Amino acid sequence: MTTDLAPVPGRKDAADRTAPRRTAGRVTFRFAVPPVSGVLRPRLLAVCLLLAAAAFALFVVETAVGDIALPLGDVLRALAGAGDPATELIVHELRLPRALAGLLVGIAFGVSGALLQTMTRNPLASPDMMGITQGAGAAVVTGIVLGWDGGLSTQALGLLGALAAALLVYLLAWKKGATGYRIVLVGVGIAWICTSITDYLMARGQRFQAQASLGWLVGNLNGRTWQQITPLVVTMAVLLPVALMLGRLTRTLELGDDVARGLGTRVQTVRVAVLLAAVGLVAFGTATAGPVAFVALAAPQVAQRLAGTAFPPPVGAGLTGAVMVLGSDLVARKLLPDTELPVGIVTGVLGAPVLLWLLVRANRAGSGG
Amino acid sequence: MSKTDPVPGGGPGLRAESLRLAYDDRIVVEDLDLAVPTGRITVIVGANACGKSTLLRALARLLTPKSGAVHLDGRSIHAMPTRALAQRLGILPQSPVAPEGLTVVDLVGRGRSPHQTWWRQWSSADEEAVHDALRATAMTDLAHRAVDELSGGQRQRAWIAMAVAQGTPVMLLDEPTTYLDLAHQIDVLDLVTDLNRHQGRTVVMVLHDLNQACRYADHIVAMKAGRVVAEGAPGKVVTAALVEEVFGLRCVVGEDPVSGTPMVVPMSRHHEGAGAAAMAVPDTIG
Repeated sequence: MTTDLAPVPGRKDAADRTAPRRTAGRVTFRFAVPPVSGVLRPRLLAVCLLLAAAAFALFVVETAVGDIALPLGDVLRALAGAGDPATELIVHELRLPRALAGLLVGIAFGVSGALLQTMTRNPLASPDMMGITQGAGAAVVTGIVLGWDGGLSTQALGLLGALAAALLVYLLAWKKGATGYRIVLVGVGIAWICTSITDYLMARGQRFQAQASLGWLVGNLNGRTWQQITPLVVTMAVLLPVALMLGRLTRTLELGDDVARGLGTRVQTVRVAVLLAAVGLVAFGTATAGPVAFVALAAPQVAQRLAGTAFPPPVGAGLTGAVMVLGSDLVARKLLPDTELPVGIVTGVLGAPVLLWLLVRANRAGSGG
Repeated sequence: MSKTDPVPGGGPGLRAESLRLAYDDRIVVEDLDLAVPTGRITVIVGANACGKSTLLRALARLLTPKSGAVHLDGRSIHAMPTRALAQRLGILPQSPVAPEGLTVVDLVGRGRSPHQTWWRQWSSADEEAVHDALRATAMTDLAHRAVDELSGGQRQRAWIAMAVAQGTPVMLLDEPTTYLDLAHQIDVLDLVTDLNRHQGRTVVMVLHDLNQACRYADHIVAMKAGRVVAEGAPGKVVTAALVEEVFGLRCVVGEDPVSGTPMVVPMSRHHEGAGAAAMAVPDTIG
């Protein structure tokens, strides 16, 4: 099996194509066996590796930090399964679920934002702008006020709410096929309706219910257990590969529906598939951690600028999301002595300027995005 | 000019039969038959809202006919798999927009989508097609520039390069000269003619300018209110009577001094019988 970057034999003027063609920002590769070929973007690759390293470092630190601070070396040994039993117990049973939740929720939000922004051709499209997050919020608060709370039912409700809101957005946006623009506009409307429902319920509910609702609505990683994490891990294992494969199909959608159709893309099918994958990711993420503000909106845009690409790169966006959530959670836990702030407060504070910056940029470019 | 993909010369080509096209309930094209000559340039002309762009969209399957069908090489395009159609017929819609920062080579590379799979995303055929498309459109030097930073003419050439890289025997172009200044209009039309003459591609395009249509078309199709009024070689079809019928414009048809094709010179309220008036002018002023 040859896996070197072999030029394909028998082609004219092979000289200028023998080496992988390194042109600004892209290198092509082609293997003879297996017949795999593609385009690599060195800068994107480097950015992804750095982000992955940063996410891993934050993950380890997140595991080390807590009521008892553990030395990083001990944590690494415990993670590898070679630590002393007491440390392993703390790491595996107490710390790991939270760190894993932060990592996976960040990835889920980042990837889903990247898919939605590409599909709608709109940098402002994200589950928190399109009603999906708010749908989850309204459903969970309904559950809390009606007294159905408890870990798993909260998750199930969040999931149902997100899916219902997404379905509603898609149906209302449908007019002989749903365009990206209509999806975003209808989504904004649905978001407000869901927020109103949430506010109404909180105003009508008991004070303790309102407090519990708020604790979830702000986005929170405190006290996560394996029981809450397992559904997320399973979903991510299934949905992430699907989402990354769909990413390739959205490349033609960026050129507009007519061009995409002309290039052989089944536009509506791809759009529904992308929406389902993105909603699935964000729904399970939200069900686990609540609506961690702005991550899905900002991560893809930050990743796109870091990598210098013309589109939000899904993998880069996922890793950026993980860095944002884990980093924000560390800040949230350490900012005030004796108080663990919910992670959503920090991402909100960091994310709002990103949103403003995007809006200003979009206006300067002479388009609303 | 090196070849991109093999372009079959013969075959029944692209034809529309009893086509009826409508947006919602508004019928735009009614009972239209059209046989596109294979290996030739066909230009569709007509007044605004006569259904010419609608027809082009239907030929490319961007619009589903209410009745009738479009056939490509004897098969209904509505029954063909999307990718299979995209390997044989390409369309460049009117004024497409590229995402900010997308480079020319990435745009042109996307023209290869119908030939790519999950694992084979940049085959040697892709590389060669993109290389050739950039060269054919004189975009090689601009390959790594962002499309949105280019001038209007360059941008249009980049999009045409994408359609060229798609490697389809049939190319449909919807008003490829819109928003271009005159020099760039001619540049783009010459480029399209090159693609037809050197690579044997069948071209169907919608043009606004009648004189350009006469000059670049092998076959001209004049439409009015959703029907074909006349079709054929421009020299045989384009007459003052036809222009008056199709555009409601009185004119003189002369000969294009450069190409020898029909040249339409419109009359207007202030210049009717301009030739006679011009001669009369010195007397009036004097």
